[in-house]
Amino acid sequence: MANLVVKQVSFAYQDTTVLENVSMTLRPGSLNLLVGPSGSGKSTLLKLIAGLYPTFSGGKLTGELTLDNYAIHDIVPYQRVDHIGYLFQNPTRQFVMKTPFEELRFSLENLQRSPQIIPNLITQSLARVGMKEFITHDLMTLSGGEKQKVALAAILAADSDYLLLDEPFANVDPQSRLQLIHLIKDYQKQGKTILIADHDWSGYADVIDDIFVMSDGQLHVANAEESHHILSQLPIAPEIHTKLPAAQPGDLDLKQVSLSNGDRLLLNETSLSFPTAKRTLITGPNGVGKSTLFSALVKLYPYGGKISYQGQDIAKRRIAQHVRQVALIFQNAEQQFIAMTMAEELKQAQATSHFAKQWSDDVITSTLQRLNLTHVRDHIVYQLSGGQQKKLQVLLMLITGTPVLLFDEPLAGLDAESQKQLLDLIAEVTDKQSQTVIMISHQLHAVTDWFDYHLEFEQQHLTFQGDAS
Amino acid sequence: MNPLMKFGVIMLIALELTFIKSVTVNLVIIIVSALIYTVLKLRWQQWLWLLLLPILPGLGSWFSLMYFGTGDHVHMAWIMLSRVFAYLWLGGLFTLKLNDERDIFLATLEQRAHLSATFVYALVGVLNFMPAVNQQVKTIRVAAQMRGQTLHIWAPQLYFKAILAAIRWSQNLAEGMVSHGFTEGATRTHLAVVKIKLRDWVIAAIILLMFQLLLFPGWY
Repeated sequence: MANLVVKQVSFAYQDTTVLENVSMTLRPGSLNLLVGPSGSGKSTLLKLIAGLYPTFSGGKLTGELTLDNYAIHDIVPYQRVDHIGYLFQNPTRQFVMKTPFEELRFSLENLQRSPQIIPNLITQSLARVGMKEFITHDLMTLSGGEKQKVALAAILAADSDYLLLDEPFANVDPQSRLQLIHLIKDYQKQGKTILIADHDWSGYADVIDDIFVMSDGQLHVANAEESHHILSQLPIAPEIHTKLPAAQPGDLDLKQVSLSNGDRLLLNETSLSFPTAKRTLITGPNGVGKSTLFSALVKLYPYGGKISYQGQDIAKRRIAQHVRQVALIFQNAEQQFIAMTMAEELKQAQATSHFAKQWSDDVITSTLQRLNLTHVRDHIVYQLSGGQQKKLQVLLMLITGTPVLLFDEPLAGLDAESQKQLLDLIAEVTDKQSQTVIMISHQLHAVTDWFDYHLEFEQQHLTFQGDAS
Repeated sequence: MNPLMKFGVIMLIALELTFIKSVTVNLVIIIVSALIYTVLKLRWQQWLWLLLLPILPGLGSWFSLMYFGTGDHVHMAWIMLSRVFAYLWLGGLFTLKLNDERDIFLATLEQRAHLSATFVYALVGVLNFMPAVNQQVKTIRVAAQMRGQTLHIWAPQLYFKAILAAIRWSQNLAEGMVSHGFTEGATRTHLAVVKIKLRDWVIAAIILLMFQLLLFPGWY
């Protein structure tokens, strides 16, 4: 195995220091966890080790970052990937080709594998992540979790000595998550060294060797107390406490609604009503159609049957009018932005708010303080960290005050502290503004008692869970 | 026939057409193309495109030559009209099948024509992104509407967001390629080695030869 050295590494963009004197020793053949709040520099460290930064980011790198005594970013990619595999945080961001087969083929051809072994390698790797039946599917039609499994297959096929995973399970349902952790554990047993950055610490207790803690660009090995705290995380699927809703019609109503993705049926003639001014959770395995359902609710995706809002068929409503009543908080925060700086975004939201009186400048300033966003108020929104963008996005939509808010995994990729800040804020504001909240989430630890109702999306149906009220 | 060979033959014929002032030759090209299209079983929409697309540029040059030309302008007007049709119908033979043959075309470019793999795979990546672009523009507009702002088709913000998305995608594409081991200028192996069959060369030679024979009687 090649020898990876991370010693006294510092990294800065212009005048902002991201990493400061980071040293890290990964024991050969170990499985390691990298933890730390959003924006603390975990992704940057991983991308530096993977050799993607500073090539793709600019910025100044100092210190020793070498593989067998060669500076990592000087090694040509096809040789580097032989030693270091990297899995992106965002599942949509890593594919070049159209289908899983093509993507893996592209990668293996780059790595100069012999054509005789390529087809077998591809089918084996896809089978290992349980995606073999999707081998010729269009990657764009796969769900976030499914894409992440394909990306993992590409890395397993490359058979790198080191595996770097950046929030690999943020969009993965709990069952798949556990499967994938075991899969990675098996890979480690072949003598590989693995480093995973993750906010969700559940499911790691029995598999992790070392834990590294990143805070404000500095790294240390977790002490006994920290390790204990991290590894004693709750079981992987916590129980959600909700009640069954009383059978009264809500504003947003589905009648015999069907959804499909290509030739895959996602939702089969389902009728239900979302309780008004309540908080409803939607859970379900990857690829079941949760995000697609949201897209249909804002008229961005075709559906069969009838969806109505306040008794009006949404097919007959103008989209501009409809989305002022039912709005989606996109999984990708950047899609929600329409201005350049955070201050401009906030002004815009104030101007178009349904509750303009409630959102005075003072209220906004204090809310920013609550979310730790004050110091980046004048920053360009596209340069904020993922966590900061998410907080801003949610705040903007809360200010807008749309009666029905559809949250698509707002907690993914946030640290526990940020999750709590956001949930508190959403609860407080939507109660005051009597908004309906419908949320897709895989991060269930933070929300066991937060929701009024719980819909399970499984086998083409949506069913309310919980105790009879 | 290998799409790159087809491309080459079509380009050569098209180039010659530029210098040939003959309505007859143009008509022959159109008729032969039409015959091939009937064998290829086009959808009626494709026929419609083939008929409509050349009309505007064709009639444009026809009218300008007919009424404002000098010298042999009547003959030239008909030549230009038929030439536009001949170009488009000839080109269609390549482009209308390109969707099915895209991968093999690009693979041939990379392996046989030795075009830079960087260029070829960047193109592949971009082509794979194309369907997402439409959806992205729609999403940008709806996202703005959710914030109470309508982005009209002439709104600079719409384009700013679209360009921003494109820049992000291109960066992602580059990072994705590199993280999957792509290296500029490095050798790659090929699962499917593209070979241009001898038959393709022979057919190409025959087609070109026949086309030259067509020019012999001095119809132009």
